Amino acid sequence: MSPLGQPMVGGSPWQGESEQTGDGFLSLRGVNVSDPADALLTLENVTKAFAGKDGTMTQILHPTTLTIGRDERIAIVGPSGSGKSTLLSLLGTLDMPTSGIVRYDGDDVTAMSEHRRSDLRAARIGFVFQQFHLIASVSALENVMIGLQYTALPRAERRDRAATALEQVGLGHRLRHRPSQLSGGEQQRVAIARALVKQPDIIFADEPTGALDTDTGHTILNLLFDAADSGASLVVVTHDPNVAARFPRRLHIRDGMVREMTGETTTESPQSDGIGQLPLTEDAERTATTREEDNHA
Amino acid sequence: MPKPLRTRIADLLHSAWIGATGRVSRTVLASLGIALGVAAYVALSGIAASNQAALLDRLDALGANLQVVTPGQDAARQTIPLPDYAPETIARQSDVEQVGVFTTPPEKIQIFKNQLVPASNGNALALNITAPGALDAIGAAYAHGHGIDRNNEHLPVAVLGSEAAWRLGVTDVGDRVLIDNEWYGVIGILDPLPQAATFNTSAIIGRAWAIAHYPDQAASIAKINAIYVRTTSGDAETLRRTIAHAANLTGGNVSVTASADLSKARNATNDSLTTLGLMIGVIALAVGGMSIANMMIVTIMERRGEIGLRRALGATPGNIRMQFVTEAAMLSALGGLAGILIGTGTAGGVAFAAGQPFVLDWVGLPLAWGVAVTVGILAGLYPASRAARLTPTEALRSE
Repeated sequence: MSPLGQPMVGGSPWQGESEQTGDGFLSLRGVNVSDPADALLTLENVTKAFAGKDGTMTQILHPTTLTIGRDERIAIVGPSGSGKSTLLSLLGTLDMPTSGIVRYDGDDVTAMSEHRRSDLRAARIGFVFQQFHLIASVSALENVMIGLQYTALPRAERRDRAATALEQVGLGHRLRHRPSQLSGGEQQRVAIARALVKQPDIIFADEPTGALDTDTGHTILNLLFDAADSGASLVVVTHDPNVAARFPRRLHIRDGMVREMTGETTTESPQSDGIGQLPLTEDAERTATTREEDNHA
Repeated sequence: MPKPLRTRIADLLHSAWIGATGRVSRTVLASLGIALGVAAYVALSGIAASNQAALLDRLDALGANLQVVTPGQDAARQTIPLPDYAPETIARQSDVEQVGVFTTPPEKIQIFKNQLVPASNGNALALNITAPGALDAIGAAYAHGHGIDRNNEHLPVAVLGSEAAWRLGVTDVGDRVLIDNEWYGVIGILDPLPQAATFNTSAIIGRAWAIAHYPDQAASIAKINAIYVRTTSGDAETLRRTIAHAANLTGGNVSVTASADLSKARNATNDSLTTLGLMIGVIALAVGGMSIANMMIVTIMERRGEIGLRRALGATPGNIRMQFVTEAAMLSALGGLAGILIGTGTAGGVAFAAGQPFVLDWVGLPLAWGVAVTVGILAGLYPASRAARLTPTEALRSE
């Protein structure tokens, strides 16, 4: 059961789970994962551990194998501290795994130089953050242009594309406004425009609605879906079950263990984080535990 | 496809400008050290240059660049007359600007206001005989009238030194004085000549008239008594040797008197104040560089979110490093410009207040600015490399 041999979904920890539930991968993911050509991003036995002050390693992410296809809509849910953001960083090539391989479009990201990874992010990956991360001293237009600063596009072209992107998110009339002159929702829309201006293959959003009220959050989520409709995958980290419920594929992460979620009713789950959770297979648990012991050893 | 160089530079400057102008008050404070450093250097060297220009003007007025060639003496203390070609050969030397020739006056000449003055009341005035233009070589200025020229050198006219005019009670041109019982019209009265004080108590008449008027002493009058040589401000000792050699090519003794002490003072003033300005400037620039480095470290801690964002957007560690180094360089460039303005203004103000000519080392300005920018780049290197070492996740997590 080599994960390399099954680049799509296969491998632990949820390989057994799928067999156990008798649920096909296809129905789980809403994408034809059996076709490797559709894989945009794959994690193969990826782990992440951080060294503590006393030298011991703390496992943040247990061995994880998963595939993200093109045009997929994925929510990563889980309680705070569960490793959601770490997983997002690994998927977004912002961080390198402790072990395992991350492949983007078939290329081994972990083997790439820092420079090539940066080029990859510059050209093909969009990010949206909870705190917007806008530069306060420049206009909305300039902020969106920064999304293209590390590409080879000339400035005039960047300006045109940034204006178009801002119009796309409904801020065509606010190009010259600075972040301080915009509401929270508008600021997040600028951030979304900054992510989609490069026409990315995939957009990662880390709690994009976390700092916004429910209505605004709903609008922002719609915008993200619209942005992704232009041909990008969308991966959203959220702790909000209502947000997660809108995604056809949901990954649940808890204590560094990633599991696929099935079923539509997430809010009624008895779990403390309010998100439905599937039981782990013994196999998966054993794998995780073994790795943890390895690391401690 | 890599970014074209022009775009890269434009982006770099743009990012640096955004960063540097994001917090105006902090930018101003951080650049202040550099501004003060450059201002200190520019102002002090400007003040020094103005001082020096004023001092040199004054020294030159006192005759620091004036040498007097007179006949030498041989071993038997006999006077060796200067050869007639001496003025020409001296004038041919490259450092010589002007030559004024005075010939030997007749002996026992007395000068009076009129014939009513007793002959015993001689006023202690001397007679000098000059070729046209010789007074200009000394740098004489006229309180009234003008000097001996080709039109009047054949006439009984005289120019009086300032002291001579006072003693003779002559206040303006057109008056007459009695020189050796002959009336002379006064055509000019000199300003005091500190560089050639002997002329203050002299009456000066034209050589052509003197030779014609004293035919029995014509040969003696034609002999050169003194040659005043105005030179460029070179090394005094070298000039003296050059002139001495030119004055008597056969190697006979001549006496060349230079205002040696003044020449030394002239050379000494050249550097001291500029050196002081340079030292203060260097110290202030070092302090300014540290304040920029300090400010950049704080900025980078505060802007970790931005660094993380830029890394997420595809900036390489090199891009981040360049951005912050450029930002530090921009801070010091702005500070340097402000310093040049402040320094130039100060130097100009001081020169104006002191009534000195305003002189500035214009070549030094871009040089000082370049040094300031270099200091900024050096100051930015360490903070920038710290920023570049941040991983995107570290940087993003911190906000």
